[in-house]
Amino acid sequence: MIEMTITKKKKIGISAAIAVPIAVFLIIAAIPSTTTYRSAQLGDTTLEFSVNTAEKIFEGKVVNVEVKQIDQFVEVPDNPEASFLRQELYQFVTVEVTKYLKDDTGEQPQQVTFYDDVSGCFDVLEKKCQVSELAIEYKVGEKAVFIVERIEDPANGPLDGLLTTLGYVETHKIVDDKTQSEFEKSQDKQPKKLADFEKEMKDIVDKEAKA
Amino acid sequence: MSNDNSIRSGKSGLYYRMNALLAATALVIASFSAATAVMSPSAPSFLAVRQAEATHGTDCITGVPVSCSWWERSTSDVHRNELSCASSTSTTCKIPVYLVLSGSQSLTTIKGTPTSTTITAQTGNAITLLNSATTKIGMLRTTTVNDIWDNKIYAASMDSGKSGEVVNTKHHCSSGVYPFCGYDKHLIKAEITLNSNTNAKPYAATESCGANQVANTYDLEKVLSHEMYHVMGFAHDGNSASPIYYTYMCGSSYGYSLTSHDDAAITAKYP
Repeated sequence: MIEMTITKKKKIGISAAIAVPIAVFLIIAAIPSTTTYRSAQLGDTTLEFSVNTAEKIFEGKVVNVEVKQIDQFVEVPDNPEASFLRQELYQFVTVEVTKYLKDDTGEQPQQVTFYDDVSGCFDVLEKKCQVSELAIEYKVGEKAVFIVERIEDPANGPLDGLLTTLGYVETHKIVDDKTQSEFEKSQDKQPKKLADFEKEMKDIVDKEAKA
Repeated sequence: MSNDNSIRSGKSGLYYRMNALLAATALVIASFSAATAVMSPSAPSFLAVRQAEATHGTDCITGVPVSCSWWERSTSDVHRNELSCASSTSTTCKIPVYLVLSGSQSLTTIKGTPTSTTITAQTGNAITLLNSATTKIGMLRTTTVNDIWDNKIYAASMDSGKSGEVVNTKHHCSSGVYPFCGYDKHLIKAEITLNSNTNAKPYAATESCGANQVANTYDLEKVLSHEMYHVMGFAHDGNSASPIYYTYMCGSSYGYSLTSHDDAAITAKYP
């Protein structure tokens, strides 16, 4: 006869083996989220400013969107107690470029990755969330005209040298050969024909080049 | 009797206890791994999840002051920087702000490189403006840091189209211990950043305007008024004359005084 006797200690061991991981998971799941809020004041919403400060302007399709937390330690030398850690969420968007309207570097890479503010959660358990008033959503497969600039940070922070955009104003999504930014939508401005928008930007680029 | 007792025969109780312990350990590790995996950046649950909580824009434009709030007001919490410090009996509540004036993110590095004297004076003007609405809430410049929740104002590089930004906000723990605390809408801290991006427009003690209320140079006072207004718990407003209008409007008619709507909104939030 097979000995199937399970001792009390074994029962406790088996129970613990099942209960502990479940408890750990439930504790993690029960930790509430930590939503933060962000808001920026728009300084200049003109197309001329956006085009003139842009390193690259291109049309293309979103192929990847990834949310990352960027940490930066802010040091205050004359008052060390005032030093602190800044933690922000950003979305990093990769676009397959189909057409360049401007590239100051002349490199015109096939894919470009830039970052923008984000509104939403970092994880499926909604532990790390952020609400940015001016954030827009980028979906894989969407087409748009993207106006991006190179961040030059005198403090050499973690975003220094990366490309960024104020997507609310500078990402003009393309639908049926017409473009419109979220900012223009908020202003009740009608979508523009893509060809007209391209010409408008080309005129600004040409004017800047002559200047 | 032929069976697999032979396998078990000769094994001590310690053997089985060790096996159970190893199994439990493996399950704990597996559980942690699974939990970590779902919390990792590779599993994004993205956008609009909590967007609805950021009430802004429409209600403010239609003139319902209390709906313009970013953060709710509490009357029971004790955090010194929390907006709840403006209880109905308080007449001295002020939210401290600390100017970062040294280091790589000193305000003296923002575009236009204003002096610390100019920055301090402009901050004072902005505080005077915001404190004029009511005695129940206001801002106060502090030169000493009393705890980690003090609200810092410093330079940071951001998209050149922005004139300023409120960042790195923290909220009251309704349960648990920071940073694993329960989220609620009671603001503890909100930092302010001014733009140090080399592409950004410069700041100065006075603004200079181009066409259509677009600034060539930002007035520091106006930008600081806007951002500190956020720190008092308000989202953007649709009135272009208000300091909390979402776009920097250049000109003497914009952002230099509180509108009647501003007064109503602030006193409604902090009665």
